[in-house]
Formats: sequence, C-alpha cells, structure tokens
Amino acid sequence: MISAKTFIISVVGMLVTVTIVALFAIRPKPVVVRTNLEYLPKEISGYAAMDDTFPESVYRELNADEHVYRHYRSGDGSQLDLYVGYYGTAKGGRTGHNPYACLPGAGWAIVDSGKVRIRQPSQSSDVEVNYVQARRDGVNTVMVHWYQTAGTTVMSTGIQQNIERFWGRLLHNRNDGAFVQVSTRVSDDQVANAGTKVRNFAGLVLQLLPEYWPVEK
Amino acid sequence: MSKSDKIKISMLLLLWVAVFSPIYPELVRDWLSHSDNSHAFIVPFIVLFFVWQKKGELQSTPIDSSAWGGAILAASLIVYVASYAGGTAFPARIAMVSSLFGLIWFCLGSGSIRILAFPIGFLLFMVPVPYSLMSLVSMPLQLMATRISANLIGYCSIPVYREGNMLNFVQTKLEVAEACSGIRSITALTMLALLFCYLSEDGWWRKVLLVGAAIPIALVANIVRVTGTGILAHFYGDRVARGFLHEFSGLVIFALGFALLFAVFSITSRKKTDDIR
Repeated sequence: MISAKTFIISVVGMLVTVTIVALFAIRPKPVVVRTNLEYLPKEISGYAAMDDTFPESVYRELNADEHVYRHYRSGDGSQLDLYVGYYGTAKGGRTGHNPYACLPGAGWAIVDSGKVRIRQPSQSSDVEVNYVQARRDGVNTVMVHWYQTAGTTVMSTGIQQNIERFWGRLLHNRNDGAFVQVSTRVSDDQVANAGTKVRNFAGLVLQLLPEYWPVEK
Repeated sequence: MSKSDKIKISMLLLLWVAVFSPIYPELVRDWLSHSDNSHAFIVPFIVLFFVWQKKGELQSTPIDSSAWGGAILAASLIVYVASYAGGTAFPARIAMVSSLFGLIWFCLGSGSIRILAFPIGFLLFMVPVPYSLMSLVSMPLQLMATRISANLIGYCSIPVYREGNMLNFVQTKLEVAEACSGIRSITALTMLALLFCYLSEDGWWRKVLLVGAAIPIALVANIVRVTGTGILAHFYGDRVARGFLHEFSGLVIFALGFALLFAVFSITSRKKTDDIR
C-alpha cells in the first residue's frame, strides 16, 4: 500500500513546484521595442559601410530579431564584413549556428582557429573572442566572432553564453543576446595583416555595441 | 495493488502532468516545427502500450517506498523550477521524465520501477535534442554523406564537384541540407531497435548488436538516398530533390532501413534458436 507519508510528501512537493513555476510563468516576457543596431555608425575609423542582405531563406534559418550585415571599406580598398544577429528574450537570446559548423558546410576548410584577446580602445580590460581562418579555392576567410549579452558581456563560447542567459533570465527576466562576427577575405600572403585589421576593427565594434544595444520592455 | 493505491497513483500522475503543463506548448511547437522531432508524437502512446502490457505484473508487485526515488523526484523538481525560471528548456524536459521515474520509485518501490524503467526511459525520445548539440553530430554526418555520395556518383561516370554540402552537376546543383544528415533516420531506427529489443527475449549481446546496427543502417540508407537523388538530379534536374518525389524517396529509404533492421533482428533471433537446438 502506498504510505500516507509518501503520498503527502509527493503531493506537497509537486504542489510547491507548480506554485513556484506559476509565479515565474506570470512574469511578463520582455519584447524588443527598439532594435537600435541598425543605427550602428556607418563610418568607423576610416571605414565606410554599405548594407547588404542575405537570401530570404538564410533569414528564415537564422530567425533573429535584427540583423546587421555590412561591408566596411577603407580608403586603401580593403574590406571588412560585419554581421550582428540579435535575438531577443522571446527568441532565447541565441542562435544555434556557429562558424565551426557552417563554414565546412559551405565548403570552407578551417585551417586555424583559437582564442584571441581584444582590447576595446577606451577600456583598460580586454575580452576573449574566437579567431578562425578558413580556406577555399585559394581564398582565406579571416574572422573573429563572439557572443554578447546584456549589451556589455562578451563571451567566446556557447556554454558561457548559456550560463549568462540562465542567470540573466533568472535574476533580471531577460536573456537577449547577439552573435557578432567581423571577417575579411584575403589571399595567403595577407592573412597575418588581415588578422590584425579584423581584431582592431572588432575592438571598435565592441566599444560601440553597448550604446546601440536593443531595448526590451 | 489495492483500489486506494490505484486512486492515489492516479492522483499523483494527474498532478505530475499538471506540474509540467507550462512546458507542453513549447515542446509540442518544437515537435511540429522540426521534422527531426516528429517521432515524438507517438512516444507517449508507445509508452502507454508498454505499461498496459505490464499491468498484470504491476498488480502483483508488492508496493514499497524508496528514499532514492524521493531524492530523484526532489532533485528533478528543483532542476525543473531552476530551468523554467532560467528560460532553458532542455533540462526542464529531462526533469519531466526523471521526475516521473523518481515519483514511481518513491511511491511504488524498487519492484515497480524495475518493470517501468524502460517505458519511462523511452519517454526521453519525446525530448528534442538542443540544436547546438544536434549540429555537433549532424554537421559532420552531413559532410560525410555528401562526400561519400559525391564519390559514388563519380564512380557512375557522372561529373560532379563537391563544395562543402553542395553537389555541383553540369546542369544543376543540389544542397545536401541538414535534414539530409541522416540524424532523423538514426533517431527513428534507434527507437525502433529499442522497441525490438524490449519486445524480444534475446540476450544482452543480441540487443546491443541490434541497437548498434541501427546507426550504420541509417547512415547507409541516407547515403543511398543522397546518391540516388544526385544521380536522378543529373538526368532530370533538381526537381527530384523537391516536393513529392523527395518526400517519397525519404519514405522508401526509411522502409529500406527498417527492412535491414528487421533482417538483423530476424538473423540474431534465428541464431538464438539455432543455439538452443
């Protein structure tokens, strides 16, 4: 026979659980009221931007609240590409896609990857981001990418981002985030120089992003 | 099991269903929105069938209580609350299954949980694997399927150039999409293999062999499908990779995978009969 004690403990445990969950459930879910990222400056340190778009199927797959996809060109003709995909709290604050999977899928071979530290020009501390060099048909893609949440928190791994998202939602009922990527395409002899350019530009983007971070209410 | 026990366990199960009701809408949305999860709809019915099959055994099993079950139930409920509050779906979904395991163990004891462990564990097939985890497996599988298929198509004297997951033919090109990674067939055939195992009275090694066979069978079936689609696309254009023809070929290939799995099941079972003789 199921003992009364076992039965009561189970009932009380589940009733307490359902009550706490109900209290969390009635919290209003924040919605993105201002995306802001589209106002990121189109002129950054001598680079002038041109907006670009992806095919509709790519937008459907990425399913972000806001995309910024730009080509920044400098006077010497070099080009840096910026992509920011922002996901509000309602969309869970993150994308499932990452360059380590998507680059090989598009035929690029990753030839070098790791972590690099980037200093934001106006800040004393630096942050860790991911560096990737991929090669296809004699062309190299050199990129840095990272995850950003709460406007200012920069993370290099999805696990770090998940932990941040968890605490953000638990404590502040908000876990919006963005995937940010700065990249360029160069020939073999320009890879080292491109890496420096990409890192420097990423530092400027890191400095600007908090100011243009979307607003959720 | 007395009438009052049946009432108590029914009440507890109803309460358990209610406790996890806040996560059902998103769970069902995930089943509907991603074809990798469509098998999840039949899982509860399979589990109910398993339990119904075992009802005689459960009736005669003495009821006991287990502190371990209570600990699992408590831990699962805590994980569920934290996960729900933190907006992370996967741990909450796992906690849904583990809490049922804990509840049954706590209230009915070790004898009953031994009988119900497999059916309850089978409920894990309802839980969609997070995309970030799934892509770790599916992307390499996708690349492998494309690479092997490109080679096989080449052996058929059809000119093809592979670029990542793209197969470029003279007149058309095909993208081996994520849905063609084979992960869906692996999940479905593994689920079927576990069903065979549960229903058969074979020894452990035969069961392990059967479940182990599900993965290569699913991979081979998927490569056959990608290769076949590529060859047909070379002759008839990329329309063979869209709409009805694509869906139909998926069903045919799944039937092939199922037939192969059943063949392994039959062979291992026959081997057992021969061993007995």
